[in-house]
Amino acid sequence: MAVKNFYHEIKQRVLICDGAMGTMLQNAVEVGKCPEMLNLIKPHIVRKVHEEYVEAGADIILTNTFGANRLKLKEYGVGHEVSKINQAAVRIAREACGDKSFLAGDIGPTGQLVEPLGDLSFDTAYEVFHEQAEALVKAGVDLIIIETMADLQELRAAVIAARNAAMGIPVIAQMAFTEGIRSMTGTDPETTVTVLQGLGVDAAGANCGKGPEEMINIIKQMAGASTLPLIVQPNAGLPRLVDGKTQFDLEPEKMAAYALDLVKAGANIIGGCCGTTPQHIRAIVSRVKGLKPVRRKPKVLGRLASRAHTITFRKNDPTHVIGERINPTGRPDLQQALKSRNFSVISTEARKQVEHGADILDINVGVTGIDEGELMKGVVLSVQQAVDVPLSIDTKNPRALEEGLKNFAGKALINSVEGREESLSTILPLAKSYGAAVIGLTIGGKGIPEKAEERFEVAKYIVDTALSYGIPREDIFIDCLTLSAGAQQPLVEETLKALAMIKEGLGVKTVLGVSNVSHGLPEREDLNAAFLSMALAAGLDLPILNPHSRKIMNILRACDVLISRDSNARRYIEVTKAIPITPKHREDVEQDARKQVYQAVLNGDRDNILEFVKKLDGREAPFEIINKIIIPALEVVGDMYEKGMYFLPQLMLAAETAKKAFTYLKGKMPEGASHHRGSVVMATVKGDIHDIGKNIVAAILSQHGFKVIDLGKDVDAETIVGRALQEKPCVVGLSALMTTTMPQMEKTVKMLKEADRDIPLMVGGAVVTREFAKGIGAFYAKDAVEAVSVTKELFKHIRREEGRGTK
Amino acid sequence: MNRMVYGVKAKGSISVKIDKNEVLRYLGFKRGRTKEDKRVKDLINYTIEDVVEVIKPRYAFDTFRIKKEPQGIVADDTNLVIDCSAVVRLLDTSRYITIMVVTVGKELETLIDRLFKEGKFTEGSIADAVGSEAVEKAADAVNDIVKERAAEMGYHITKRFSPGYGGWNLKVQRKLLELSGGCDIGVTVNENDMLVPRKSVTAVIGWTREGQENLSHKCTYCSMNSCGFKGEL
Repeated sequence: MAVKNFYHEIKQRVLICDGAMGTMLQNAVEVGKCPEMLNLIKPHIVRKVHEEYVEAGADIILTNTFGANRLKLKEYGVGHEVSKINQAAVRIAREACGDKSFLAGDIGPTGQLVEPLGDLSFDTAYEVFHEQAEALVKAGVDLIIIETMADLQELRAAVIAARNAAMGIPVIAQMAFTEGIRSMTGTDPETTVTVLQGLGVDAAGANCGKGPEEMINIIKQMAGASTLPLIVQPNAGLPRLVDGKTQFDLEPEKMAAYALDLVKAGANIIGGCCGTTPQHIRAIVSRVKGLKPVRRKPKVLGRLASRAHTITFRKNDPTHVIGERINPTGRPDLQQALKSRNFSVISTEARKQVEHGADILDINVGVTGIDEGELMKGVVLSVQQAVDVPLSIDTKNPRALEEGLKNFAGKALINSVEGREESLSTILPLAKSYGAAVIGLTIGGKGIPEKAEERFEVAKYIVDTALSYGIPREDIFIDCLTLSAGAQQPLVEETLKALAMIKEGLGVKTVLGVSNVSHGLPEREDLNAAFLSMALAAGLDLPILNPHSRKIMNILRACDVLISRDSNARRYIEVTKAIPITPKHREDVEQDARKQVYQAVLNGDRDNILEFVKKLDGREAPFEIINKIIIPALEVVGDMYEKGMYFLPQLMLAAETAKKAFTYLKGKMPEGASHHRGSVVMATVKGDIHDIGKNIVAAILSQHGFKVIDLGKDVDAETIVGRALQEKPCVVGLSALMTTTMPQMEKTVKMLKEADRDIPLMVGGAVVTREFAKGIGAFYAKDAVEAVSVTKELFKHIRREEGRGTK
Repeated sequence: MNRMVYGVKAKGSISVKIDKNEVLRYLGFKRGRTKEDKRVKDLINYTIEDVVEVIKPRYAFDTFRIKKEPQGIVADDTNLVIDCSAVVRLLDTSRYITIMVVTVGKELETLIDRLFKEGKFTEGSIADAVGSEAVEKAADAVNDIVKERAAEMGYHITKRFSPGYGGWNLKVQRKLLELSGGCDIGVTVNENDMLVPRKSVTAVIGWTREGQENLSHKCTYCSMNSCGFKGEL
């Protein structure tokens, strides 16, 4: 089947891709052996699987090369056999499908994480994928399918490498969404498809990680954000371990029942991933093969993306701003930090700008005498760890630009290209290659033209050239340059005039650096703010400014209201903390506030919890808020922690959030009333100075409503017993880290039992075991969450006893 | 040559690079299972920065010739006897040992205590984990120094081994501290043989002519079967 047909076919009809290879080979491959080696040693088994899929009606057959990259093969000691294994795989698949189906070279992940999350450099990842893609292409595949990627950076490296090796054959790329609808390293479907469209793949989609039902929503989200054809390859339901082997629970007909919904959601290609068999594919073929794909008309919008979110340029959305502060010009502190590669200063600057409202950050690292490429790479990698916003790579140095674009996980903005042939022919190929949007400066061969009309001409030249490079109009921004009102006063108005002309006449978005206007004049903020409002009125889409200036940010938000970019002034009100204009019904407010309190505890939102709790003032008794909202939320948190879905910081954040609410609500309770469930005396035993565990348990217990008397660390048995007798707590909790202090624990337990048999003890700590606890007659808790359940049980028990006593 | 090895000693300050993934691991983060939470990651990043600012990693070590005696391994000119079988096994082919101590300083302890007192439990527990990672990295750095010194003299080094692991009684802590020069860098030991400040480590490293380093899995020496990280290191 000829290659050119693919572009035609995919528009005409829904294509069917094959199902799993790995699960089909499960019986042929011994555990721990390399599945791709079968291409060399048992080709007939692989061929048989391909033949069955062709027979079932698959239009696209994938080679058995999922792990046939150098890094994966190295794990099996055959890292040098990349080309041999891939070539054999193509030959086998071709024998099976002939020209009845498209033959796709399959590329899977390396199993290593790319920088900044892991250690694998982007360049190495690129080389590894390029080597494999080249082998596949040389052996004669019709397409390349990249699949089951868990990390956006690895996906980018694979796509760029495959595209460069592909010699014009189509490249398709799929992400695996495993964490809700995010990939393992946090990327959502919209961002995935935004980045992939920028990179110029021929189809994008999702595979593995989910069953067909959950894929519907993912495909819908992709369909709404992209014009690309979409591919989906779900698992056959959920995995179960049966007799040491993984099995999937969805039968062919049940799986196929979702196929039509997937087509309706926007899928152009449907196949199967883990657990699917030729029977599944046959069932899907009978339902949807050859149907006309739905016509999607997603709005074509400008988009930029960071790893975990996409920002969209919609006509009536609040204005996005670029923070300009990461620029060493005139900032000795940043120059110093860059020279000494002290990137934490840069990360802090990045974080502050985002906190103050920057949506995109400009990154300029030009310091004389330093390798700008290396520096750009380092800064881009470390800034991404600090903030999750798109970056604007600001440099005149093409190598630094390439390092920045390469190492940014997302769709970046290039700042900038000039309207000169030399600049355009250097920068635009990089924009295309790394899938970035680009800012064009209206600087022509003769510098910056004075007249608006001339700047328009330069802008038009830039836009036309960019379009000819295949950069879509929505990815082009034009900066018609702000000149200083101090030096060239009349040109300020020319800039605004040019801006309006370009927006109107070329249909592209506009950018302006606001702060330049006041250069050399006093009270710069005032001038900047005035200029910003004029530029916004003239249609400016994306100002570059100093987000730390309150005045500027306030003017920006006010302007957005006046030019209808802030529907119902929602953001303006939110930011200024005014009262909503459309008050909801009382019940709704109450219902919402309850949910907000519950969610705040669940998410550990310690900064906003009080605001939410206060909304319930006078509407709900403090007791009720604690018992019906906060405690249940904490229980869910504890459960998530036990399951490993939350880790310690999330547990602690939830505890701090609940504590804030408790403290506030306690103040609201009538004198004498107490929400305490009982008290707990806690200590780290004599001789032991490691009290982190005890501190954590104390924090969590007090958040569950227990009154915790924390005696500290290195506490002798006498003190603990004395206090216990005085307080009569529902339990005494002891911690010890070292084997050497466990005898102290035993001593304390003995002494307390002698003094009062009825006060229970609970012990824990790194070396303490359940057996040891049992041996000394104490309860055991392996962590803070178990400590809470033990204490609750003991408390219930005490209450029952007390109940009996009063009868 | 022997005289040269005996007495390879040093002390000083080192800088450490915190591996965020290790901090996440100490805090119980399980990739693929634990919910990704950008706010928490940010918080961890800030806390790492705060901790890096306050810690002052310092080290000291000294090197001794050792002999195998019936009661265990004995270091020349000292009264140190190592009788723990795991360590004896580790040092089987070694002719010398370096005894080292490393600490990140008491300032971190003050910071952690303050955070908990202020109710910042989250930052407090993160700072503690960062401290564990910092002292581990500091020990690695000293390990590298020793490795280099050994290589210069034609020796390989064994894995590092610390009291409290593999059944090595903590009582030896006081002796190791004294021999490594711990008091010079402000590390002491309390009545239960715990190091003060908390984020400090003592260890021995063997010098051997034989083949390569002892590469057995760290966890095989450790008897703490209830450990949440067993087999993961």
